[in-house]
Amino acid sequence: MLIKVRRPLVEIFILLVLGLIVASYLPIDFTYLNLLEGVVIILVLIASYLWKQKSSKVRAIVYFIIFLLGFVYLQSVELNWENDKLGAVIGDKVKLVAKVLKASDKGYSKEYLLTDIRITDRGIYSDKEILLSAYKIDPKLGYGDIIELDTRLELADAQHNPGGFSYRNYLKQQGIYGVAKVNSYEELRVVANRANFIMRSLFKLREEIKSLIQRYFYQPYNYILEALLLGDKSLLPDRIEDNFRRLGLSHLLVISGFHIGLLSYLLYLIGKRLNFSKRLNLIFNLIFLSSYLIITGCQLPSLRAVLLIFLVLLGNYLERRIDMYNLLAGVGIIILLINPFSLFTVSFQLSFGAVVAISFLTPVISSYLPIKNDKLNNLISGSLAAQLGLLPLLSYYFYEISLLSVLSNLLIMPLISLVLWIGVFFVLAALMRVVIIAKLLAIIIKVILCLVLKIVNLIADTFITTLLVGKPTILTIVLYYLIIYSLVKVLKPRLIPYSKNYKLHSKVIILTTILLLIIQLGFGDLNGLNIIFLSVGSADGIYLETPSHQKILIDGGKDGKEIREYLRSRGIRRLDMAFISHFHADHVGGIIELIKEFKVDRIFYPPILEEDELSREFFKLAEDKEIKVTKLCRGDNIRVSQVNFKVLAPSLPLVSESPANNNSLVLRLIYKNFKVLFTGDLEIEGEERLLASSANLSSTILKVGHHGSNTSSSIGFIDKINPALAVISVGKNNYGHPSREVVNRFKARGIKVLRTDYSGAVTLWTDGHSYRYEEFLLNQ
Amino acid sequence: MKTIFAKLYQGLIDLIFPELPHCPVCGREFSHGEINLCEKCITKIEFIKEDYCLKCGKLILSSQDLCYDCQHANHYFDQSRSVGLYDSGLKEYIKLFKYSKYRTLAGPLGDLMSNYTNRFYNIKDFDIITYVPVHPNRLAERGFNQAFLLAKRIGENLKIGVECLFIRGEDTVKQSKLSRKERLKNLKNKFIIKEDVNIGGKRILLVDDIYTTGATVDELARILLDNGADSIKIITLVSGRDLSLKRDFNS
Repeated sequence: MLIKVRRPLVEIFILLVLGLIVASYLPIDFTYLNLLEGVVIILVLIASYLWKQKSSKVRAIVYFIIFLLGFVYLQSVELNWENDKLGAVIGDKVKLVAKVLKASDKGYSKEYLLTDIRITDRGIYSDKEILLSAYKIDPKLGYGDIIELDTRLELADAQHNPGGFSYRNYLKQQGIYGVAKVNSYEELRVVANRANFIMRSLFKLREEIKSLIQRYFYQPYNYILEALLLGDKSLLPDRIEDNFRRLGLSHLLVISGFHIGLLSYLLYLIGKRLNFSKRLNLIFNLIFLSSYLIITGCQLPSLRAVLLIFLVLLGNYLERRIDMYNLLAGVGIIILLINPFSLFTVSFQLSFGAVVAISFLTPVISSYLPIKNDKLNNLISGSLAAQLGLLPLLSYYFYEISLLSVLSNLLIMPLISLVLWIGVFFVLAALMRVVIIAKLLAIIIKVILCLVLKIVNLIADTFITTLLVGKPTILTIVLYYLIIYSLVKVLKPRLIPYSKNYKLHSKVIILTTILLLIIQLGFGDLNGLNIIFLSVGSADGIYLETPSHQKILIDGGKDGKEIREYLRSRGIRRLDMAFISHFHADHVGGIIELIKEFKVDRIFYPPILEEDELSREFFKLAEDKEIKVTKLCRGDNIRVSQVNFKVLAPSLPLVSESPANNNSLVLRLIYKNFKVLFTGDLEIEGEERLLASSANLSSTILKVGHHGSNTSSSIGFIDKINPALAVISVGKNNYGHPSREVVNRFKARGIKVLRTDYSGAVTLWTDGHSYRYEEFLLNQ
Repeated sequence: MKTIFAKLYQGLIDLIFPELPHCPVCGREFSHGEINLCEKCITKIEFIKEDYCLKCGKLILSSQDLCYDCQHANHYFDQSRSVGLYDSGLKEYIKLFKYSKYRTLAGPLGDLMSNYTNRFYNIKDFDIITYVPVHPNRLAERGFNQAFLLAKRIGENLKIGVECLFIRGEDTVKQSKLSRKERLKNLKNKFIIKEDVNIGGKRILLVDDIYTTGATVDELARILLDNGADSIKIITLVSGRDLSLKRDFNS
């Protein structure tokens, strides 16, 4: 008996998205793809026949066709991507001709987006895009330049660790196939320019505006203004961006619905002033906004916003009632047709999620907020709605949530709106060379921006702004949204009394909450010892979690980045202890970085022959952070619940040959029957001393010394340990690690070898008797 | 060719801006997806949600349990409930509902009554729904009986069969133009139960549009009980305020 509000585009959008999601989990090959395409055609024929018969089944078939189209679409794009001709030249030195699409300044490097790639001597052409970075040189390329380039095409880094970031996927989602570098002018020649006139003029205008901003403003205001007006935040200081992010204000720094909405409102006011007709207003908006879109680099968030505004205006012009959900779905369909991968981007999910959350939750929240002032109430409930609606997504992608985002949005959003509006007039005045007005407006903008920075920095420095929650599972996210949805249905001020759904939704809330609590608190935590050898490049970084959940680190990689992301994704802020195997940058470097951010209770380290800069830096920092540091030598024993760390080396007097490596901390972990030997960068001299000491070395797992170098892992040493599994922590390097000879030495003895460069992070789980392991890249 | 493009264009526009339901009262489009009335026309209704007479459902002072009538007289029916007050919104809709142009109002109004029935009664307790009849002459004049349309809608919503159980005798004077005493007198012998109905032991929901003194539905309840019905419950769209409340209201 409920009145059905038809939202056809929402239905199509949901089916399309379902098709895309299923496709992303079920890759198929060309044969199946062709088969499915045939199925689609047959179904279309059946549907059109049934349509003529006015059968009621036609709806179900059309739904299925849309789902299938989404599935087939993603598969074909994916297959096209995988079979692109550029795949044949990855890693090769090639001479290519390409067209420059976009140029951006990253400060330390210049980045260019290339397309129409032609490699004549290999007979290859590709319409994919490539990201070219120029270091040390400034070739001053612009849109439309055709360049000839000697370079090596590479795929960007893929994700190697849980919680890590896949640059390759990130680029793929934007249609960028690979990356290339250029370091000298000799490798690069501009051979022609083939630019579309309108585009070129708009890009010129962009450059002009940029130079005007640089003329009227000094740092960092020019960078903020470039981000706000031109959507270019490549030079924005990290500290500002970071503080904005921590306060939940990031959305203000990308050109999104907020900016486009404000601009469109400004245009509306102007149109009203000039007594524009509805049609004229529509055209005026369209021309202005699409030019702006191109000037700002046609990024998807702004395209999304412009499309939405345009549809709203069109609806007004046609005098049709506007249903936000239907329009939003329409925009979503267009974006997904342009680039189906964008469904999986953070930006797509956050911006669509924000609009849906605000439309859906604001009315409910505002009716419960005890604030009389309508505008203030709306502002606060809107921020709250966005925050509540995006909470799971934000924690999924950034592992933390912003605690003060409502407050800071309330303070900063009006100021930024003001800057944006005045900024538009400033640009106009500056372009028309009305210097006095431009100067005046620039001063006002500077004052406001100064205030903005003061407020943001003050809040970020005085308060705890974020809460690390870790990465929730997809199931948790789904349950969360189910609860929110039902809560809204129950709490929504009902138009008519005693609607029936009340009881159903209450039941849903109770059941899902219980389920959520079980998932969050209950099972899932198998008791046992977890060891994860993170893939941290040519370095060591090993994380352990004991059966009673003590958190332990052995070395921290070069900069600790991967470990940091992993720990954050797990919601871990504190470590019980860390071991430093020796004071080389690829072992202690990350520890130094990590203790700046994480609380570490105790750190153990080996004795050293002489202090160097790194060790001094470490001890200074440890003292500042009040971390208890303890020197370990052979014979020491660290007991953490049921897990024992026996220190086997170094022993005094220290080895004088290659002293840092050879005096590495050697730990033998013993958990019931399960033993792991961690040898740091121990080399042959150290191994010999260990063998001579007649210590019990026998272990189930060996962390191979010195990244598999042939100066370590001597035959006698391996035989004494007699492991079942050898893990080599290694990445791209110039030393030839791991040595083929060493790898073969293990293999010849039937010892399984895992390399973190091939396997990604290696996760081990043991109950003290048996163990199992997982390779991260194999799972992907 | 041109028409194909025009059709395509129209189809696209309809896809992007699908037509929303129109409010049958004011014609405005709405998208709340509850009943077939727009937000504005719904908020005009004064729903009875609390402070109702436990017996007849009329709005009363919150300090009381029963209205003046029910304190002083007994009813044949078990209970009666009304959706709202015979005031601003519903008064207007009932007036409009008399015209055949607004017959579709049976939808939203019947839905409201279904909600109330569902809330206050256990719908499994009903065997039949019936309604207050009009005289054939009046039916011919107006073309439909509102009470029947409402009952039909409720029956569809709650999946209970609707049956016509009465014949109405000659209607000389309109009930609404008489005082309470005159009404009771006027009612005598006006309703006759149909001959072939079998309502022995049946539990019956009786539907009407307006409840004022309750004389009409009470008379029908009496007839039904006399003919062996087990119990009678009443649902009406509107009812008046209790006397004591009126006094309070006026002073």
